[in-house]
Amino acid sequence: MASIAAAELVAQAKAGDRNAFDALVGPLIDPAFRLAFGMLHDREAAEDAVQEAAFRAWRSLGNLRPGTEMRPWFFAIVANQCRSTLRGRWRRVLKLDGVGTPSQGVEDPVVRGADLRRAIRQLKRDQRLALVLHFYLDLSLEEVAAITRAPVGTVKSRIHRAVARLRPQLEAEEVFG
Amino acid sequence: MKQDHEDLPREDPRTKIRRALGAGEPDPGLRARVIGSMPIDPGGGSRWQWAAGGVAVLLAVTIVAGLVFVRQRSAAHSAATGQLVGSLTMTAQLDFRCTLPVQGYLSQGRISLPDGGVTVDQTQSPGKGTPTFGSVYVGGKWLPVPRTWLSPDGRSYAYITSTSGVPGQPQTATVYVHDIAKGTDRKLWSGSGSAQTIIGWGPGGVYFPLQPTASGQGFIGQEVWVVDPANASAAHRVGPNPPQTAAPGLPTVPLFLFGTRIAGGAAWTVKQVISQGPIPPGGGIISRDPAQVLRMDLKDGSLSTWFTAPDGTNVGIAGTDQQGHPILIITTTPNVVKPTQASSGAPVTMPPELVYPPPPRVLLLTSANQTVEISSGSDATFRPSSAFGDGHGIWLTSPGSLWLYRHGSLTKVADVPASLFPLPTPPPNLPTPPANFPKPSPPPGYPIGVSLNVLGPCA
Repeated sequence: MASIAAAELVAQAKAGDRNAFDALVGPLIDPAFRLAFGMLHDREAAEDAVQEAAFRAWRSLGNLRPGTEMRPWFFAIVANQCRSTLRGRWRRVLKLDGVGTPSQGVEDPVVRGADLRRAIRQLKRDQRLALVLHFYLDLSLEEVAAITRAPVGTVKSRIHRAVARLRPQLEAEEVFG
Repeated sequence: MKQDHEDLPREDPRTKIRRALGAGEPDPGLRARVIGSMPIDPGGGSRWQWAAGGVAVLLAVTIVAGLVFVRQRSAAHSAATGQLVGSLTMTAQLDFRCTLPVQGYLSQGRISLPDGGVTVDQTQSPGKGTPTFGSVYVGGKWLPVPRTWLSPDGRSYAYITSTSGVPGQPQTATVYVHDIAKGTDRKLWSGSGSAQTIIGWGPGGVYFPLQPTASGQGFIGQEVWVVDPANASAAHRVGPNPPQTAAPGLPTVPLFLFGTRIAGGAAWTVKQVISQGPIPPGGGIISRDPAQVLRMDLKDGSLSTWFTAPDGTNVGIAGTDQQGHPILIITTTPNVVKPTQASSGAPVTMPPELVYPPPPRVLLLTSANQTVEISSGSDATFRPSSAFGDGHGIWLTSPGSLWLYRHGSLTKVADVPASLFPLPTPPPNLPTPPANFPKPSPPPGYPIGVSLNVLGPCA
């Protein structure tokens, strides 16, 4: 529920008040980094994405409609920025890092984690985003839907398909439990 | 080995995914760096969004540069050698000569007065990369640090670092002073805690917000500390740095952080307007606590309220005059909330007064609850965005113009041709306003043009 307080903070941030912007976006920076890290798997790229997303948020404040929830709005910007990053020069690096043959039959949990990470990287972007938002950031399906601008059913479907693709590493039946 | 794994507790998919995604913990200073890099662009966010973004890039890299400046000082401290690009259109005759350092969009330069000649030293390209100039002009050089970090004598600047430490051990904050002429850095003080920025220089030395316990959560400077460059061992706590009032669900930030001004033996900040509760269905009149200008006495840390914004207004501190009095900008903040939520793609009508609020009043806060009016807000062309006090008076900028308050009178000094400070090329993928979000036309006299930022005294 957006509050008058949030609306006023937006107005103050629009007017150039850095404290107001901090109150609005500051608490979202750390989870935004985790979102970016989950999407990009690179600390430097994730920090750059969050920084750029904050700039975009700052300059988009003028178009922010009153009543808009800040968290899904900002996370959507972060997700778009990650998408741009993946389209750009980092993509080659990330893809190179992402290719490889999964370790078959390895029991070491660290190695199995690497297999899972590799598998997550190879998910479709929308599936990976939904997975990271829901499982990594603990956002509700409704909030993931708001961020990705997709119906809740679509989000469920994406997560379900993502988990299905990760089935060799996961027990999919526990996902929605 | 296999037996060991079978003894491990069964993990759910969420745990496995988190473990697989790995160490995604952000750097403790990330929030401060990101927020601190935002441009202060009063009233211009909607009109010059991408320019502001570019400026943000500039400010971001300059602040970061402050931390790594020791490695780059030889290049960054080189004397400014700019290019004369034209002249302001002078609208008043000045009886003194000086040079005013300014920033316009992504260009930084100097205005020669009284002739109005503009010399642009450098123009930063939007995007990433090592900064080549900064936000302080002193001794013929641009320094890549915020002005608040510069010592009063202009010979050095302070900066602060905060380490994340090792797990189980507290963070460490360290304050340094860099001698500009010698190019040397001196560690002033180091202690347990987290601190991300310098508030400024004052009578006791370098003031900074410190979170002594460094939990990594919540706001980042619960106390105000000072360290004297002449006696670093005398570093001490000045007083608490209480949080801003926050609405439910929103975190608190300290009162004295970004935007704090130190002048006249005090630190100045604004306690923001915060109203509680949801937006009334269908709109209505809301009540709220007024915004206040707070003064922290830097001798004892005591807080006092010096100005309370009238009902329906907000207040910001644009700068200080040479005597240390805050320059206040009083903007209209309607306390009548109108329904603005779009329904099923229907056009949203923005009230014109929200998009183009009335011109602000500008006041000089001379003592507690005592002000001198610089501008009544009746001039539609004067919407100040920057103020800087020096020996000549108070320099103020409005979109497309430069003003001077002197001897009790406000005068437009010059018009600023937009061609002297060209807008940078818009970045690709620029977000555009939604089609169902029309903007009303600006009111008559609404100023347009570049909003200069005065970066120092006219010397």
